[in-house]
Amino acid sequence: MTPLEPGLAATFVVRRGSGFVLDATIEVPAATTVALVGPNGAGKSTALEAIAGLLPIDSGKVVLGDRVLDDPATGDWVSPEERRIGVLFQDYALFPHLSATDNVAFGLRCSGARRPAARKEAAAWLDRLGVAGVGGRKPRRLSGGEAQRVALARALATRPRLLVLDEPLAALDVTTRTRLRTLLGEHLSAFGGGRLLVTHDPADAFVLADRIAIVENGLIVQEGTVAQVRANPRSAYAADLVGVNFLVGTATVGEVAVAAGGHLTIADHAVSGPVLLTIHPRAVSLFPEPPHGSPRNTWQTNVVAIQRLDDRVRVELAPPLAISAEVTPGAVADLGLAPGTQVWAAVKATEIAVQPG
Amino acid sequence: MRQVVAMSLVVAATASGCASAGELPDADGSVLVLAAASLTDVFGSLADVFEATHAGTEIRLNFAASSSLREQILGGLPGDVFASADETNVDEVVAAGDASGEPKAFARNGLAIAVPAGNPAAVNGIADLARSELLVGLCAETVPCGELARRAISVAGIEASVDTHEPDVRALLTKVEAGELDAAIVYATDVAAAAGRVDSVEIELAVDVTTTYAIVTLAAGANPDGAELFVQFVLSAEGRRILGDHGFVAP
Amino acid sequence: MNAPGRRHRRGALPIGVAGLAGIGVALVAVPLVAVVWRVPWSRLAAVLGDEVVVDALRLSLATSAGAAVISLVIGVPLALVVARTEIPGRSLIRAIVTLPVILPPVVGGAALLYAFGRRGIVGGPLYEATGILLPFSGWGVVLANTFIAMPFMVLTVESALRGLDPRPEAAARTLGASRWTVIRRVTLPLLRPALVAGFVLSWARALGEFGATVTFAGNLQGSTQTMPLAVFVALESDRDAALAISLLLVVLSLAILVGLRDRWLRSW
Repeated sequence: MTPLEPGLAATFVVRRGSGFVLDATIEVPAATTVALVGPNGAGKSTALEAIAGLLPIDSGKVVLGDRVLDDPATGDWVSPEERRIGVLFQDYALFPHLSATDNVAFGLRCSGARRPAARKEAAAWLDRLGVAGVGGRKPRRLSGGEAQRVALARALATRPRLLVLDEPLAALDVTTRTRLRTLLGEHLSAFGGGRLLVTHDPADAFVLADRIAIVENGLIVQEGTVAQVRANPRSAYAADLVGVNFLVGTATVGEVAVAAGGHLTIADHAVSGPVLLTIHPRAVSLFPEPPHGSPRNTWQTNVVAIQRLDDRVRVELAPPLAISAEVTPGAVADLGLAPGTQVWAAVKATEIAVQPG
Repeated sequence: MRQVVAMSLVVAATASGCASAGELPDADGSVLVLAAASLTDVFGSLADVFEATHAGTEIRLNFAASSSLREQILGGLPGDVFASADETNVDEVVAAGDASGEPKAFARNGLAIAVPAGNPAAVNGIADLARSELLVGLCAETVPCGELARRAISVAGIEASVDTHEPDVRALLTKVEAGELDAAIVYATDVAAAAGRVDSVEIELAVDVTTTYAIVTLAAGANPDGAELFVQFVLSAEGRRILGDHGFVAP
Repeated sequence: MNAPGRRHRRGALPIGVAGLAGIGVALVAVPLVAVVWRVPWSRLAAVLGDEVVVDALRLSLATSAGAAVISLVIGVPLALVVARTEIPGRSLIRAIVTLPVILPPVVGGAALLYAFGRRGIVGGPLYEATGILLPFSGWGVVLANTFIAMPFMVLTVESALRGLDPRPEAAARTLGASRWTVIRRVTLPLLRPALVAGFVLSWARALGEFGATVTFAGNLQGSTQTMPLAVFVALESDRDAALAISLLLVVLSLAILVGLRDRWLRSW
């Protein structure tokens, strides 16, 4: 395991020509994987480019360990080639005209190594990443998984202080992705510096990351450990990421008027004002007729769509209160559920998590 | 442009369907005259005067090096009249059967040395062309003006230090005018036409060499009557006067 | 249901396209065939051995190759500036650099004369100060050829640059490469097909250049009479010689263009 490297502390504003503005604070401590998650166009690429030095920031500061990389106020600027930040690009950006070994050796040669020594070290890295046999091949003759590992070896070979990965698994098919995600996790843990993982795939975030930062429309809307975000998602996107239902409303003494329509009874009578509600799909029960019992929230609705996930089924319900319920395939058969079917839904007040909004 | 004006005259004449009194109706239309480059100005004048008195006819002029024109005629170019800067080219056209009449000599042209205005290199005669520090130009050997210049040089018995053989005499003159050449052997008429833009230095009579210009009607032409009329005009007293105005000498 | 005897070959293009392409080939090939047909084969060796032809050949090869090399050395940085920077006026720069392609070559030659001739705005002071004279010299031919041929290099390389994926270059920077190293070790290798094509195009164009050369550099055997000029002059006196030199020019140009291997043009 490599010795501890210092971490990244970046607070900056970047204005793009298109009018888009990214205003973010991103911290990546040493030996920690932080996932930067968000929908397309949220600003993930901008953040990555600003940190890597491929894009100057307009205001703020980017600091790696004890070194200021970019500070417009003082004029400090470190060019990308001197930042010692390794980047794994989306689609890998391997040099098409060089063999895999020479790709990995590229960074070593830039820092002055002679070709034989650089190639030897490059071969060692390829071996470490389990792709020892592909060294002589050009990138167009590598499979997706092999290319990904060559690109990772290339980034690691320069012994960077920070590793940034841009959608490292997006270009792979599902089976390869799952297999390589585990492998990637092992390599990331072995890397002593901080790792910033930019992704839109929740599985990447939950399997590989220690902390998650969610960016939407150029702003960081939530940041915390994976457990924290899972427990209390604070935006529809975050909730979607985690797989829970998300509603926004106004609370008054145990009753919430949902902004999109409908009412729900909650257990907490103390909270009032704007609130964020999360309901796990498992907590939503479906009945063929009006249920009698303890659930405070019951309403009649229609099935909009049905989605099978392994051994569970997600049932999307119609507005108002357009949430999803999670049931077994058996239940679907018993209730004869299909798009358009009329059902009764029920949620216990105690199953609704409430956060001030 | 002259041609546009001439064209509209022809259109007007044809539209009105009239022929001027005393003209052969068949002479109406256009006459394509292929003439040596050194005839540019004088034939322009001849054509203007001819058209003024022959309202139905338009003279179209095509100027180029005589040797180049000869090649095109032999290759089938359908011209009506060929006016060459020497008799050899015309004779070749006749020998090939492309002429429709007897060739006639209509003018003579001598040579002169053209120098940039002010004669900056102080050229006094043909002997100065041997000075290697001067930039000297001649017409290309295969052009009559070039052949004539070479003859003049050999008659003068000098070793000329030539820097370029231009493809036609106009290009040569342009470079002299621009001062890019110090001296060039061109026709006397060219120097006359460019008076003010270039100065000239006479070539001593002992080595004076001239070329005889010849004109002939061509077999492939579309307007043989118009061609004949134009040739007659060039050979007429009026034609000779205009030629003299431009510096040509009687044949 | 298959009608008997109607199995069409599975070509990639419809018949009409192939037909039009055939016309295109014929349009170019027939004049070439005509030249070959009329070449005086019995006199060929004599003509080609003539001093005039040898001089013209030597001069043509040297000046066209020189022009191609200069076009490479100057044209590539120019293409980089136009395609890769944000400096204002780069569209104007591109337009100016491309102008020689559409300008009649003789006009180009005249412009060169006014600029670099003995009385030219640059050539004049140059001559006064150093005695260097560009017109009527071999270097004048190179200059005229470069003027005409460089746009082909610039256009080819610029177009390729625009199509280049910028990410390997960004990756190279993060791996420690300075801007100069990125150009040297990533951009130029990736541009190889365009560099080769541009070089060949500009060389071939320079080889056939006539108008600008004769107007600026003049016409003198041994120092400025390139093969196209030799053909032009020969046409008026010795057609056989003209045909023979034309044949030589065609063969030479074909050799340059055909020698352009598909392999070098294929991108990585």
